[in-house]
Amino acid sequence: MNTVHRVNRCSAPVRREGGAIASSAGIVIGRVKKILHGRQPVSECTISSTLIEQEVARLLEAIEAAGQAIDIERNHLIHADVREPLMILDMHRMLITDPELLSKSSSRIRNDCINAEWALRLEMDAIEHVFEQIEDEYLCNRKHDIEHAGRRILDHLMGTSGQSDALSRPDQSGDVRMIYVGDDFSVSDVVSMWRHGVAGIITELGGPDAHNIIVARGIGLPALVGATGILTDIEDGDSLILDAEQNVWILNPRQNEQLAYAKFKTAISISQKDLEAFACKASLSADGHELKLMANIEFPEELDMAEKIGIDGIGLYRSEFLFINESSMPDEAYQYEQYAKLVRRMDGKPVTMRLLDIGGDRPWLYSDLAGHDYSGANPAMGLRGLRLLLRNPELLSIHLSAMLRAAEHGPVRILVPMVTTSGEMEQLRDIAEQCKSRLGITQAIPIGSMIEVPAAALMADDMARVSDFFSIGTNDLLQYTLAADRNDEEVAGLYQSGVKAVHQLIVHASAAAKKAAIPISVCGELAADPEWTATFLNLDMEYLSMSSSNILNIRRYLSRQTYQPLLP
Amino acid sequence: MAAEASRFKSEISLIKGEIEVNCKSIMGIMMLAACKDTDLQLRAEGDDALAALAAIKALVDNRFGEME
Repeated sequence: MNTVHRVNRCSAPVRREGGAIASSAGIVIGRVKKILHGRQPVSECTISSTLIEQEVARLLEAIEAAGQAIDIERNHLIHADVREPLMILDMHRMLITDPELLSKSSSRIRNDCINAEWALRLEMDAIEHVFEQIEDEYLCNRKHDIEHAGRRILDHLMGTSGQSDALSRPDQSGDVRMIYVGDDFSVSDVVSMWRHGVAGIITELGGPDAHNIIVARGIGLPALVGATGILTDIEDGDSLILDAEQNVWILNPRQNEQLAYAKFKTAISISQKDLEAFACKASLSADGHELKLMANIEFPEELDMAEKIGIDGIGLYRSEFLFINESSMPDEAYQYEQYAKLVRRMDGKPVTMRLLDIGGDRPWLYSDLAGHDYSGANPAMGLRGLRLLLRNPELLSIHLSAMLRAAEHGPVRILVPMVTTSGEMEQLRDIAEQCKSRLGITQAIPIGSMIEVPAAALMADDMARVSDFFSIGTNDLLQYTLAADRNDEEVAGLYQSGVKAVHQLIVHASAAAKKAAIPISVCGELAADPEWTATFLNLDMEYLSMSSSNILNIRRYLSRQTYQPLLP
Repeated sequence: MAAEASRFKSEISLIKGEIEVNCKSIMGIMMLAACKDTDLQLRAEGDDALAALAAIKALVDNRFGEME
């Protein structure tokens, strides 16, 4: 593990470089902004003086809304015997409605002509700074309460920030590309940063196939994760080169390096033109054999890029990302609306929706979910995916019903995560049948299994009896087969050296699918690996589904392969 | 203390040495970093100033033995 030593800054910034474990494509020449301890970036805008009172009103509204949210939480808790959380809530409520916080933040808005988020953030920073100087340990630690309370207000402000963005202009000069550097960023951090126009991100922690890097690829945001050592002796404003082609970062690069990279960037954009020739073309081998290419989607925003590139459908819709920022389980109506919107947008192209793949190492916040406070010793191998869903039949029914109803808008398939035995699939199918008869749905809607647990791959013939299709989740299949945690930087290298081990499992599953005459596809990161494209083509995969930013590359690669079938 | 002070209309300040903070502000009070046995002054200005002072003094006398 890494220990960070405080090094005194020399007068001239020192050039340092390092590697990274995984990346999202792109090269950025920019400047550092440190975001530590998962701090959310806030939009920093100057506003015209006519909008000042409106901005102050926004702040007031956000404070009231945050206060009301606390009251609701308090109501939930008051029936349980929980003294400490209640005290914390009360403290937060007092901090949020503190008259000094409001008056000082409002003054900043008025005097500096800045937006509410920025004013509040600055005020919070100032107050926290004062607290850091206090010697008394108890009082010094109160600064965390101020941060949490302030964030509640910020969340409400950012929720309504749509208006403010339209009316103000960003304070940064348009030419400066900001690269955000931190220890770890959550998926919602990544999306939020991208929306704020950040040019690239680098985190010290993280391994391949971590969710944040997957989403970064999906939205086309250049990124590096597992960049050990980057946070040592780095300051805001330092020059930084992010090179996702070689998985390298260079802090305070030399002049000649900067020039070399600028030239390289130009060269890349020229070769991008070559790739663009494959946009909106059919996905064919050299001898005209089709292998469809589809997109893995987390957020609807990713479809903008996907549509420019031309996709044959959505091969994996990760439904859990719909709920990632919600504070309570969305009801059937809301889910149905979102799924229907997605299907309609695809305009007749197939959409494979995966049921919620949560639990275990993906913590679930809704307290009304059985097993949510599960703390098994081995989360990746615990109560998650289908196991968790079967333990919550009501939630599962709502979830399934919303998806089944969405099928009236276009071709929908339902994919089941973490299937281990055929018995589980039979249970799932029964529940789906009950939902269908309750809803009066008679159309056939395919329900298929993820092949990601080695047991399911080995028992593929049995699985094929109870599945309308297979989709191979190579990320988890690799993880379980290699017994290596994909997020552990110490062993992440095994994913490169040990990858051939899953070849047999993939061939076995493909043979079983062919025998049972059901389609099989790949939706894990191997789908985007050109070294596997020929294998997948020759195994008669129905489609490969991957992050949109990889599709053109694979389409080009595919166009150079000839079809040589492997299965009898 | 901030909650109690907020019940009154008057402007109420808490003073430690040179530093004066708004008594209705929990952040202000905490920032004063006054631990046990610190000398503090209270100042109130307004219609209900006397009542405010009395109430806060009572609070301090009765409860602040328990504050960490």
